[in-house]
Amino acid sequence: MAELLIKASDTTNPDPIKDLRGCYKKGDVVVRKPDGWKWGKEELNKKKFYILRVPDKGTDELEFLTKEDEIELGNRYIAESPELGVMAEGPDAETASKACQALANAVLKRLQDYGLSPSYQIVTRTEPIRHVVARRRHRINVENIEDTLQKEVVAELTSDKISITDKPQNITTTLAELAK
Amino acid sequence: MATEVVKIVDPDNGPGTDYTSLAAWEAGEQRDLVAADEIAVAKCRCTNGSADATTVTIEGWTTNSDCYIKVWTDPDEGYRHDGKWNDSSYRLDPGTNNGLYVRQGWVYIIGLQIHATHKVQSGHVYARYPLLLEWCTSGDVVIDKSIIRLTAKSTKGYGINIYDPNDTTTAFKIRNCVIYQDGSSTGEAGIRIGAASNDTVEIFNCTVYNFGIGIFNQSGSPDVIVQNCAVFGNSDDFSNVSTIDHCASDDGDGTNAVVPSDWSLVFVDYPNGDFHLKSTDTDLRDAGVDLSSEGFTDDIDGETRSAPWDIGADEYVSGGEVLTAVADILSTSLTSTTLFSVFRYSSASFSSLSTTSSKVSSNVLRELSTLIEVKTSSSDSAELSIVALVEAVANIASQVLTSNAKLLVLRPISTEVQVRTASHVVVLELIRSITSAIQVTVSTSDSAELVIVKIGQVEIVTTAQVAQAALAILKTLAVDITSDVVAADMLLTVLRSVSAGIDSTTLTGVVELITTMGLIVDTSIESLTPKRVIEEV
Repeated sequence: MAELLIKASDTTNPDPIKDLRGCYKKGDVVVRKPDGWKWGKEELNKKKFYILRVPDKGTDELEFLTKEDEIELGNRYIAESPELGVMAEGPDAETASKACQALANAVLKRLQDYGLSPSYQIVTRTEPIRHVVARRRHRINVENIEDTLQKEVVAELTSDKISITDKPQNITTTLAELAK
Repeated sequence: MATEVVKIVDPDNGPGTDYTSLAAWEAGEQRDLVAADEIAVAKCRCTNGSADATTVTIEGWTTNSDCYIKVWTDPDEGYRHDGKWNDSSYRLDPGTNNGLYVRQGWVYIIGLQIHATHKVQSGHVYARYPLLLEWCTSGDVVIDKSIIRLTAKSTKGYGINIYDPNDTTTAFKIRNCVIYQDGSSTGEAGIRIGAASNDTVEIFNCTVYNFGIGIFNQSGSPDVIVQNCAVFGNSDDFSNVSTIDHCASDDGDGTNAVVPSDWSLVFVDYPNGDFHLKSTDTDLRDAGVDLSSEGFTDDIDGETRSAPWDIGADEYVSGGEVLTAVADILSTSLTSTTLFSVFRYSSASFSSLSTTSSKVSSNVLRELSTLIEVKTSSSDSAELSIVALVEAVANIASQVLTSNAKLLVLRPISTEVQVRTASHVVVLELIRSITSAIQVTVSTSDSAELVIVKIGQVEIVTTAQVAQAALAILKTLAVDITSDVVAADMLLTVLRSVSAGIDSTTLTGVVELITTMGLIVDTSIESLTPKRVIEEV
């Protein structure tokens, strides 16, 4: 069983990008907690939040509801020599490796002045470049169940009774389908 | 002058809680602060020591220099760390998720502990980040007196990641912070900067330990100014940092550099995250420069810095060292009986330390109390020992601490002591011990909450909180107050006992204390029957 803290109203920002990425809208799930959670005073304020218990789903199964909409913009390439303590980044592995080699050469040259010629290696790796676009990708369509949410301190609905919209895909389905 | 709007964040939902997570606070309070002419304050607590386990993002607000966001632990409430990581103080710890994102200017983060652990799934390690400052709007982003802890399982991940590729002008100010890594690998960097050139980054009086690179300016811009910092135990202490001044490191980087020969002589216990300066340190003490012109004059413990400043997050303060030494002595395998004696003896010593702040005393007493191990049994002698223990510590606490601090001192003891055979005599003794140490007068606001408790033909006027506490105590004794004449008599006794000289806040703390001792308490005031609220005494 899980309980969801859901925004009951929109907040806005005049910058449309900030508004999309930073502001919660009505139906966005803010927090997931296990069943029986003791909510604070403001969390029980119906002007701010609704609380919905989903008896047939656990908090882990509903993690996607509290995820930002994040996209990958390719990779960054990093080359490093742990022995020499140098690191460089590039748009591809070869460029990063060459840049790191240049740094390594400078360090080696100086070390040689002290009579040191340590062995070393240059290792390259990639990391995805991520970008957050929206505060939440999925939104609960609370309009259909608002009477219940307003009336009950903690409303209870099974996942097949909860309608969800995937905003970028513009697909509406049930929570039961999405949380399979 | 903007109005402060203070909300209480407490994952344990203690008295006065507005939100049970910082994430919910951010969602519930998010607004245009400039239009409202307000300052949004989240005061963080953890009344039962639970972690705040939800990732937080601060973004989408409208702020300026007068109308800003402040997230903090109030040092007077006792939920702030004591300069090193503390699992009973407020902490943001979402496990294998990232900790806190700040994507906003004019944000002040003060006195927090933030932790993240690398996630391992199907043999792959996913980097995690305790603190991410990214895509910020213009304004200051200040991180002060905070502990940033990364548990790394690969050479990826940062303690603090500053990534701000936009056209805003943000001043990142990180001061009096400890940033360290305690996992099986090193992570990539303690502080990584990838900011746009129109930002500024100032890192003052921080301690950075055990990363691949200590402070790493990856983008090469903007200018990164690092002063009075201790950066050590990293593969490389600094990379691409333009200004390094009055810093201590392994590599001797920058101007006015300090290179200690043995860091174990500098810090109290750095392998275990205690970066307080030792009394024997001669490297970092007085080796820094006065940065009071930068807008701060204290250290990670809130102690005032004195010229010349020390390097690192901690400013050495002699009073704290004396009390810490007492704690060190006591930690060497004493029996509980001996500890009782030491506590009694120590009470006189503590009261004679006139220069010691209550905060320092509170921290040391808390340390002392967590050292106690009491093995309880069903025998009366064990029960009496528990009473003696509470009494002894309460005696010490009553001499130097405020009422809130006393409860904080008493609370960890309760988690150590398991009362399995509670008789009503023991419970009453406990209450008397605690309440006798806490002399607080009933405030006028309490009178508005007065109720009449009626048992049979007997009526008593008291506060709702007192009645609630008394009822809870009786419930722990498994008596039925609605039918049992003896119980009614006991209720009156308890009411009279606990209502003498104690306010509702403190009394709620007492109830919490009793609850944490393993005695199940029903705090529902509705179960008092019959009752009615009256307007005047």
